[in-house]
Amino acid sequence: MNPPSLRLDDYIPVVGIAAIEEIRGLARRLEGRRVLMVNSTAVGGGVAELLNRLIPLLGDLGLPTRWEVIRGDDAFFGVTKHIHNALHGSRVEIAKSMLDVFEEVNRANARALDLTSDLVVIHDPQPLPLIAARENGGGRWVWRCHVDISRPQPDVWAFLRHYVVQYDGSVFSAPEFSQVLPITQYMIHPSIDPLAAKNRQMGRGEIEDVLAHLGIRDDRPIVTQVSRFDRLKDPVGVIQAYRLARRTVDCQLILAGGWATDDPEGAAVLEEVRRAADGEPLIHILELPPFSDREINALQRASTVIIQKSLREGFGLTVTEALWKRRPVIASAVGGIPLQVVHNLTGLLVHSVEGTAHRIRSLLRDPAFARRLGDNGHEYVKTRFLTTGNLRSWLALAISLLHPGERIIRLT
Amino acid sequence: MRPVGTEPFLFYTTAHIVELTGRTARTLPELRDRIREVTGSSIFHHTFGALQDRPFAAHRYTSDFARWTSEVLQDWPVAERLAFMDPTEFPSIRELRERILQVIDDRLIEEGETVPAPPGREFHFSQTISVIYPVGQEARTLPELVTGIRRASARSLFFHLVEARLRIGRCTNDLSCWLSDSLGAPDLARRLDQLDLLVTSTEDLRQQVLAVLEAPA
Repeated sequence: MNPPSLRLDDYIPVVGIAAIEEIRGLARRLEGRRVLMVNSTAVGGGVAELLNRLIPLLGDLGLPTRWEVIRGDDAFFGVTKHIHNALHGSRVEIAKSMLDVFEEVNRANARALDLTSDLVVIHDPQPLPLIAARENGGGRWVWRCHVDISRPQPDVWAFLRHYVVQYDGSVFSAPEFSQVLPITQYMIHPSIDPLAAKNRQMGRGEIEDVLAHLGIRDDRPIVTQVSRFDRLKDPVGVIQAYRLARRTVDCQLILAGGWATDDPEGAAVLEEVRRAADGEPLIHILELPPFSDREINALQRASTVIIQKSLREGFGLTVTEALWKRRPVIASAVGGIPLQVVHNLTGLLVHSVEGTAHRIRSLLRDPAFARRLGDNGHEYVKTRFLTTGNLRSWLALAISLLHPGERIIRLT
Repeated sequence: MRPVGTEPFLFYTTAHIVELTGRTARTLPELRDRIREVTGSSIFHHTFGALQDRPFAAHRYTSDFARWTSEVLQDWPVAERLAFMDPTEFPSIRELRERILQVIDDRLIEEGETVPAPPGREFHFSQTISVIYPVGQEARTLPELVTGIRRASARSLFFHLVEARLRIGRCTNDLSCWLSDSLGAPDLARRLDQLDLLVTSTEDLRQQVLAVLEAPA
């Protein structure tokens, strides 16, 4: 895979030259070491998006980095879909013959791919069995798990665990998403790219153009939730909260999500949302096509308040995006959200429809408080959840793997 | 004060990688027990690490323990006492850990019954692996030190001013030590030692340091 070219220096205006020079200084301690990233898809999804950023930046730092994508047929990806659901805690039946397919396809990939490298990073469960092809004396192997495996189906987890424990280390997005393992477990939070279309700086004129194109008038405060139409994101609860808030404050609501045409459940939820909105003109339900990053960016920047009223959540990168844009965020205390929203400091944590309504009113009535939350949120994301921080963490991890057992590593 | 220091001041910085320990706590007694067991780098992670990550929150939550007991357990007395503790006042992790344990023990004597965290909001213990390396900048004179501080990253400043206390083992910092020992400027060093490190941003800290160093003698 050949990701687009990116240069670390492009981030100097965002994080400052000192931070960039320090990343370069760290990378110099690893100069020439080869990195290999392996996952199961070249386009679409958060992992491919991450690799498209990380790989060119590692290359720019003098670490030759390759990206391999495993190949598989429909049967293989059918099994991996089942495995994915089982790791999320759904009850699924996976026959031994299906696991045989999973292992055989991985063996075939191991024969076809060049897996020699100083650092091999295997992303998610699909290519997990590649570790069986590791050669003696080869580089360090790390399993990067992007999914929440805290409540897996036990038999499926037992099967996968047998492979996981053969790695030198594992990486999870949050402590809450991990499992007890006999190998070192690192944590690297997901990150957003401040230069990507979804997060780049935007002028007022461009924001107004997008709003006009989407048929939204910027004549009263905007309350927004950006999420796919999924019951776990509780869009109907957002409408209820908005209606309660509207009794005393003037505002409009935007629910923006992806197209639901190929997702039967999504289409059903969208229908429920439309019924709940009941044609109210100040509730805007936007079905955005794929690659609507510019529109999402503009909607988030135009919003007075951003909501993420999820009932269950992964890390919650839509929250990260909103915080980065200095928006005051009201979000449920689930999944990775409390890692980002420090209550009353970087946003507001809520637990109910009424709590959400109450906080919408508070923020609309107190713009100075809303601005303070937004500013803190921006600083917090800058410190912890940007591409540059992610890069620094990977470099520190690579150095740590060269110094096993050391908690303070002094380099000259 | 000597015009040139006997030794150069070398600017360092750190990169951290977080390691999960698998240890969790659901109640205040469990929190106390785990705090007793975990490594010093775990206590560092949840105290100094919290200050570095959330400088704007320094006046409210001086540690992850203060935040969790407040936001999740909503045990206000222990949360307030933990929040009142300034980790930078402790010369060692051992003393910091002992003080945290004492605060929790006192609370458990006051209030035997404690409410558990709701599912999904347990306290997860992590620890920090620190990579420490020079950034390639040094200072031999006071003006060079000022230039270096202007250029230094937030992490580098935190390392030399805040984390330094743990390395040196007394309430001072790397800059003060160099000013006093190498440049022969103990008065400047003393004034730097008196700075409040619980500022709301690293930029505030930088400005405070510069104000001391650039003040007329």
